[in-house]
Amino acid sequence: MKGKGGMPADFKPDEHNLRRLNVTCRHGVVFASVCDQMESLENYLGPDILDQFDTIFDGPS
Amino acid sequence: MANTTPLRRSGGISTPGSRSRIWKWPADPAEIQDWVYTDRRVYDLELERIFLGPTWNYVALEAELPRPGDYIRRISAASRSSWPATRPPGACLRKPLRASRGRVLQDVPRHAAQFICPYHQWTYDLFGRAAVWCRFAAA
Repeated sequence: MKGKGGMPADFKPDEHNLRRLNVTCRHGVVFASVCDQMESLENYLGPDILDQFDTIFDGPS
Repeated sequence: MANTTPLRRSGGISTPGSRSRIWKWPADPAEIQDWVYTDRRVYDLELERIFLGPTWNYVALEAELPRPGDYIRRISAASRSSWPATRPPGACLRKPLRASRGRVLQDVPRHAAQFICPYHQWTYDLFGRAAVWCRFAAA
């Protein structure tokens, strides 16, 4: 304020970005995970649930 | 119901003196004990293994966020705060975790050019990059 205060000269804004989550989409449905090493959504759901998912969410992929 | 009485007598009630024993589950797995809803250790395990663990969590429908800058706020147990799911310009959906601790669930898609923390006015662009940060920062 009025030229005083603020962050020091060596402040690196690139080190203070927001955290991005791991995101995946299937047929227009968006999922997120805090875990960066996730298996695919298809493997995660398994064939039985995936089949039901695709029946309900049959929109464009 | 027949087997609930002896279980409670043997320490099934969540009290400070019986905390080492309340992990025991009744013989009938369907008999859900009240303490699972309030026990801190169960909550911490839930965060670690489910919300911060290897799980995919439903966020939104792409149809709710058709334009760049559209976002929808979600409450996340993992961050114990809300964060916006956004569509940055020229990109597929990404999701910056918001630094602020908003508690209001606004479950309606909205539109923004940037995200501003209401406490210290830190401002982030739609890609989650810090854009304005000096205001009040030295306080």
